[in-house]
Amino acid sequence: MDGIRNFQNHLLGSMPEPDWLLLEPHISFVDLPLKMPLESPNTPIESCFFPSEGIASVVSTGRNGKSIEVGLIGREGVTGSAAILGSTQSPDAIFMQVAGNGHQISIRHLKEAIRKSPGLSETLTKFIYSFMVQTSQTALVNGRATIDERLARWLLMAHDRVSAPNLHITHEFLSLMLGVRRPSVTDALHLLEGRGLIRSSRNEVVVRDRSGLEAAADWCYGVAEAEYNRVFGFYASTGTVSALSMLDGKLGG
Amino acid sequence: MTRYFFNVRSENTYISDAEGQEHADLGAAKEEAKIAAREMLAEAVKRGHHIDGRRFEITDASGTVCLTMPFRDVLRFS
Repeated sequence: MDGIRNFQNHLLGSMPEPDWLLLEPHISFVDLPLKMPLESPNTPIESCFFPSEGIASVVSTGRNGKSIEVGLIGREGVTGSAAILGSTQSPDAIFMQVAGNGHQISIRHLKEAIRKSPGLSETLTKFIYSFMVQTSQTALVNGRATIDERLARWLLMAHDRVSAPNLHITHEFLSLMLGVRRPSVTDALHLLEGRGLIRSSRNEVVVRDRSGLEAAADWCYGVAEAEYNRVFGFYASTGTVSALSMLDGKLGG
Repeated sequence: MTRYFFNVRSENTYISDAEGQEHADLGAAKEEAKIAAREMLAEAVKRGHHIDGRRFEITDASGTVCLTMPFRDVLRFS
């Protein structure tokens, strides 16, 4: 997919020039290091982030302090949906789970731009809708899938959002995100590795067989990706190819 | 805090834990082993898999085995 401008973030790269010009005076390119908080629970949201590289994790937190990941946001999207939708804060936390970089703009300036451009408003709300579908699918798999399937799904979603097959991620992080004990993660990674789908070492998981991983994720992967394709107008030639993977020409398999 | 490695041994395999996790002491590591064993057994039961024979072999950074805990120890029948 060719963007209009050479940005890795899909939303920024493909928006019409007049929309970009509304954002451009107020937007800056920043580093997004590992664990950097983008939003904290029940705290006013100050900025939206359009990641280029790296992955932001959206984590739902409960009153008792328990938490679980409900979604991933990378170069396909933008953070700050609670503020875009009219709230000032959210009980969710968003932080960088895979380090990267991207564009940052204050909520105030983004909302000013949204008021001036119905097209920009629609682009952002379409993304927020597609993210809702992602979190719905997370709820579904958390209730119905095995740990192995959920892990394969997570690895595919992360792989969609990075440029190389290496994911810099610890078993500890995966256990927090999936809501399982860390030894369960080690066990499930070992299973996937035994099937030749990944290579797992201390701080890294390398995807070796993308289509095999999709088979391992089975019904758990693909619906949210297809819906993102659909609302943004990508039509993949086969059901399992994700628009997210197409962003840098990397097809399934 | 000490880093402990939660390796899993069964009849045919040995899954080594390259990452480990930190606990205040071996007692705390054992508590984690129990919770993890319950979860891993539950997954196996749900899928109709053979559940016997696996055990945690917890080592420290030097590779010394500090604790062995069969998964079946966490099953309570009364």
